[in-house]
Amino acid sequence: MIRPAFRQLILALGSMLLAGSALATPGTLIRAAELKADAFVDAANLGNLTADTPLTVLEGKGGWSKIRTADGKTGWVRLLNVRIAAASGDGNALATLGNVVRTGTTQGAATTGVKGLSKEDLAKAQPNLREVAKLDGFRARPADINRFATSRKLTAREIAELNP
Amino acid sequence: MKTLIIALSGLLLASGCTEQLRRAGIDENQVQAISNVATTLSRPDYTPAEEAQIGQLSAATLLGAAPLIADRETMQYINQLGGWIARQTGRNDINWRFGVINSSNVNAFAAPDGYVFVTKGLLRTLNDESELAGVVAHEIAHVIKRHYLVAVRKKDTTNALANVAVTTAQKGGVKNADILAGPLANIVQNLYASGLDKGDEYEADRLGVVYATRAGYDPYGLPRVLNLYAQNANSNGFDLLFSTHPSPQDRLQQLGKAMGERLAAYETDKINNTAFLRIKRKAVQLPDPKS
Repeated sequence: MIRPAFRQLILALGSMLLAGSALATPGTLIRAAELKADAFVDAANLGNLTADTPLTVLEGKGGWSKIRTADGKTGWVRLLNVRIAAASGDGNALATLGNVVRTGTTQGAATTGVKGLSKEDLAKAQPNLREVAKLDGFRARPADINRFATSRKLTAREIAELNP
Repeated sequence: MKTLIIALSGLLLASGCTEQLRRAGIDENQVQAISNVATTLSRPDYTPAEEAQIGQLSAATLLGAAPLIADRETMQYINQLGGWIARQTGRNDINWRFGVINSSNVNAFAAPDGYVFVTKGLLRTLNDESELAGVVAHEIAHVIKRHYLVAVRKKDTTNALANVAVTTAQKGGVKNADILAGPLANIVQNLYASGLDKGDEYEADRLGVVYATRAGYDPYGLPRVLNLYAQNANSNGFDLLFSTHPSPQDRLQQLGKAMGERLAAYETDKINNTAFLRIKRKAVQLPDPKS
């Protein structure tokens, strides 16, 4: 019983959400690094950046972040060499979209967070054993797990645990 | 070491020599602190049956706040993905159960005895299956390292479960209702609202990256998720995640130290995301349950 116009709005918002949060975010380079032309080690070196270079993160891909420096140079550095600035302010485009989907309006955004699993919701929660029991019915059989892995060409690899 | 602490604190308390201790520069608070540690350590571990009950109570608490997604494909998907990653841990003895919670809050949870949950809000936020694998692997690590059980044990000063067992023994065993109504329920509720120790989170991050990489996923899935959290600080739906975890910046700092370039050779963007994107689309379209 959803009206066509509303349905279209939902679909449009949905596809915007699916496109991911390609937000330009301020950050800092935490150690000196080469600025690469592409997201791999052997890519051309576009220049050397010093530690603490302020930058804007444009997107991520694998272990790499695409960044722009204050003087307008764009390229790729290792994700773990970038530290995103601790955010301030109240939300961003993704959260605003969330509000529209949830309430049908951009007015009156909740300040206590989304309903469902907030601290307040947990405090009020009555334990629900019926829902827990449902989990047993969805347990994956070994054959299903095998199929899941092979359909993605995932193969198990031996990797040692990391030390702190 | 454990025995030594217990023996020492027992000796200190029994001797009642607080005046001498004070002169030696040890105050009563310190004696009390040692005594508390000793009490915790000397309490016997939960039995496997008790662990299962705590796990069930924990899962019931989370699902009491918001139910599972009632979509068979989504539930099968998360159980197959989780089951594949859990295989890489060598803990086939654990009764792994995975679920997607129908809440727009962005979060993931683990409970003792093999329960792992991610929220609909998390699925909406992630970009690919390697990122989801990183989060699920992080929760699997909490289960394997028994982080929640140890935390419950520390707060369960009255040994609530054993008391329930004693008082209900005459009634023919412990009923679920007795546990759900007991003090343990409060402990579990508070734990999910307050979170684990920072060290537990850092350990789960390190192990999560390893488990996901063993399963064939991109090692940088979890670091990308942490970056995504950092970008969404103060956004709606991230409140509990932020108040119960160290900052994403600190987690990336710790993870960066541990990872270095050790797993760079396993980096991959070749994983088929078709199924993930279909599940994500469903998550985007599904409304929150009516309360």
